[in-house]
Amino acid sequence: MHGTADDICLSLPARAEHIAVVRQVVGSLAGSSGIDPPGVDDAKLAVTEACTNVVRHAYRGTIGRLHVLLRPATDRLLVVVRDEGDGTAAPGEGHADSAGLGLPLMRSLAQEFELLDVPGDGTEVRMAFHAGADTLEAA
Amino acid sequence: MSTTPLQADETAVSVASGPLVGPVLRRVVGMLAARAKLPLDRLDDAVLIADVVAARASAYASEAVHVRVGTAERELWLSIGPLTPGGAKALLGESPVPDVGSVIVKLADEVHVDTDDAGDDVLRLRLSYGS
Repeated sequence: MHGTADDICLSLPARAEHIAVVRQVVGSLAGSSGIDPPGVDDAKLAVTEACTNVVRHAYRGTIGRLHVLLRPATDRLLVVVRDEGDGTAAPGEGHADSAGLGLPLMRSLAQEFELLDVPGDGTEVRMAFHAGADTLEAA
Repeated sequence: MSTTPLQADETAVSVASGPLVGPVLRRVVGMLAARAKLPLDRLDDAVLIADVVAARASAYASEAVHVRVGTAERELWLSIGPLTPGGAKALLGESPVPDVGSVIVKLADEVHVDTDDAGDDVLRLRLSYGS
């Protein structure tokens, strides 16, 4: 995944133990983007959900790649989670978790949310977290 | 960024040259060193090396600092590059603290300076426990 010169790009094997690596980086960058601690927790949870979906659903029994792009700004953090899986399901279905909570949770936690599901070219989840936004706890 | 395909177990990190290299790199290297079951002292060494790389690499990287991290049981290796010619040696330079010498050379089990197809430097390091 290629970003702009100011982006942070991670490419990891899509295994469960690597989700914590992404979560650590998100936590650090969200804080430096002016997002308060409850918002940082929301960002970490939402990104964990997106990464978990990749690990569980994107590669159907094989180990593929988990790509994460992070673009910090002074009052906002953009996070893009992408896989190279089939992407053949209808938007939202390919990443359905067993309880169906992952996507609604991500939509609730992120101030901006977009799901791009391209058959044969993987799935991309784009989320942005804003400094000063109401968190689920405050709402 | 290197054009060599990523190995299945490798993690690749690219951070825009500047103040975020340190916080990102130390967290990624630290987490992966822990997953490789390196003992605490070697994990600390890995993070120290990440800090040295982060402090110096931006000056020898064009737009972003690119690092690949691979792990095996009790083993961690880093590949830093591409760096401008001479950049790898600069990363291995001595600590500003008197009599310490090169932190990376002291802490890593293996150090290699390679040149990629484009003529840029690539610094490869290996840390392990029990070697």
